[in-house]
Amino acid sequence: MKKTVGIYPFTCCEGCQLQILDLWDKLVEVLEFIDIKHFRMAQEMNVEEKHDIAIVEGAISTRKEIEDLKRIRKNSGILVAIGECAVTGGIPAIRNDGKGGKGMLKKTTGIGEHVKVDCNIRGCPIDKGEFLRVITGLAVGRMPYDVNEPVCMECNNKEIDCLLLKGIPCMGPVTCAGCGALCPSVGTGCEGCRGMTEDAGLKQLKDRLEEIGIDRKMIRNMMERFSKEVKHDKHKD
Amino acid sequence: MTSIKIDHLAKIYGHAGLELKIRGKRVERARVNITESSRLFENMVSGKRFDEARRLTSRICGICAASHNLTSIMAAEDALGIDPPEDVRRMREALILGGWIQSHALHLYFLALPDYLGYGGTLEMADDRPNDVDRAFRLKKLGNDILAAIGGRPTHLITTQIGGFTRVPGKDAVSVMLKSLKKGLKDAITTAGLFSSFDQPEYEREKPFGALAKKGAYPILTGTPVIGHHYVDSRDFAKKTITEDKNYSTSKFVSFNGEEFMVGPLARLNTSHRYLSPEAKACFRRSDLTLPDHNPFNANVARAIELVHCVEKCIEVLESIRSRGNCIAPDPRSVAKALKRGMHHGAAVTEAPRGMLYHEYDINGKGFITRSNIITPTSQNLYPIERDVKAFLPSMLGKPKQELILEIEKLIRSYDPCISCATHFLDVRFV
Repeated sequence: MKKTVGIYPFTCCEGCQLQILDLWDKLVEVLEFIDIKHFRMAQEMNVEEKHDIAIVEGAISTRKEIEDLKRIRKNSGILVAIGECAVTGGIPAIRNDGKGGKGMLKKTTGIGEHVKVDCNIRGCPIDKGEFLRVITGLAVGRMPYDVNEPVCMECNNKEIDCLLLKGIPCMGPVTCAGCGALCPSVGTGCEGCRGMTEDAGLKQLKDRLEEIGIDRKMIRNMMERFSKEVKHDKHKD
Repeated sequence: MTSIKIDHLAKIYGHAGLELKIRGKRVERARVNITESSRLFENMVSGKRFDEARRLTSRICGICAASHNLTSIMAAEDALGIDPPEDVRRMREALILGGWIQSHALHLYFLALPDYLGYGGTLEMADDRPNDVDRAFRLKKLGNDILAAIGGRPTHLITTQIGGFTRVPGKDAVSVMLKSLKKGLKDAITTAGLFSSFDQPEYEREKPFGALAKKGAYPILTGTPVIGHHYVDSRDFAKKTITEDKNYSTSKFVSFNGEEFMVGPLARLNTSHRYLSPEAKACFRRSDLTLPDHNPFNANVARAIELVHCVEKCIEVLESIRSRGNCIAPDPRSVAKALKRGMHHGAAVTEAPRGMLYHEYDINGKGFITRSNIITPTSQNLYPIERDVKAFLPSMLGKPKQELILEIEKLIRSYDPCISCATHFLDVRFV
């Protein structure tokens, strides 16, 4: 029997759903195994019911979102968080510095703050190839594993010259790999969109960034862009 | 009294609902209820360095990420007094045309077409209309490929910088783009023919148009904002327009001189049709449109004609770039060092696929943003949407509820509202 799937967005830019839509010509093959019951961006008829797999995009920032999320959790077998907003709170969580808007929770967070998450697909936006691999795996009962190596490994593998050595700010040393060092490969510093590795050497990176003349305030901004809500235990030097 | 409430409109970007109150033959209330939570982007951007805003604001919207990214860069350049070389401007234009191609293809084929053909979604059409579905994917991919070749990836660009690019496509990549654009032109023309062939509901309501105007060109990245008959200086855009909060919406509503105005493809076609590319002009002539056109349903025809323009224009722009080497950006640290003391204020208005997009920044002497303001196309279109729903509804009364809802949804979808964009803003106040 086909596995039923629902796709649900919360506070986000819906860019990750767009990656799924872009996959559609390839998804046709996956649709042999799965049946998409809920995907409001792409279809008129959407049924919220018990799903085998629920895919959740976006951060949680209102009480209503918590309720909806809890209901989705209750109704689904496997719950997948896609994109950094759903995993860590991502960009929307940067607002936690200031006051929220009316009706908003004190803090915007990833969905893991409120419900149990079975697996994460990281990145901003997600890599569509990775999404296809994970969803195909889940359809046949295989769970993906978390990556905990830094982007530097991928730069090494691809023989990309180190940007930090050239004086370009880069979060590669503390950021989870999996993107194939996409940003460094075009000469742009990694912005940390897959979240920090578990044993991230933040102190060393901060020192290096200061050495190449990056303003302290800018360094803080870099560290917090995608990891606003994980900083308290991870940003200890 | 009949009340109709749709909690979630399908096939638009983001969460929005609709609330209608009808008494006899009179429509008492038509409200677009925007329930998506706001994300306070203007707050987030303040305290960030001038070159961080482009990557943050890109995350306002996954569909027109490229527009936010470039508008943010251009506003920062305006503030810092940076005037990038002509080739950078052309490369950016080619890039944004790729963004338009993917956005228009997405709207036309995935959101609008199933309505016209009586399907629930594009995927359901795969068996009956394989040619349309294949063309949809080819056009979407064409736009994505241009974004990836110039911008590094289709969503949330990575090569774009203040003053230029970190990397530009090589000679081979450019010829691959040109080849696929030339092939894609036929698909775009077929699309324009397809959308011109559909019967649109007979409905008209006059309202001012808002679009950039540029002498001798169809407005894309640059031009002067014109609303109705009024020219507005880019830097004054926020001052001259009025933004209002509504208690039922987490998006703002924008007006000009107390009047609504419509932005987007139909507004642009009405004001700048003279400057369409040759093939787009031919498609326009073959369509039934006579200008001025005030039927919002025709926005889909206008969008399809623009798609042809984008493909043809993108070829022209790419071929006109003299030296790709000129496009490499200066080091942001040298830009930051060259900053003068005191405050820098800058703004930019561009045409995004859905209409005029405004970014404005105050940047201090150290290069950090102290205040920002962003006005998105969808918040400018909210008054026209609500008022069109209210004016169109009476002609639909007496039809079965399901049919009525579908027609209203089609009307709203013709504006291609992007709720993610509309709810990016600062603060929600309940009136």
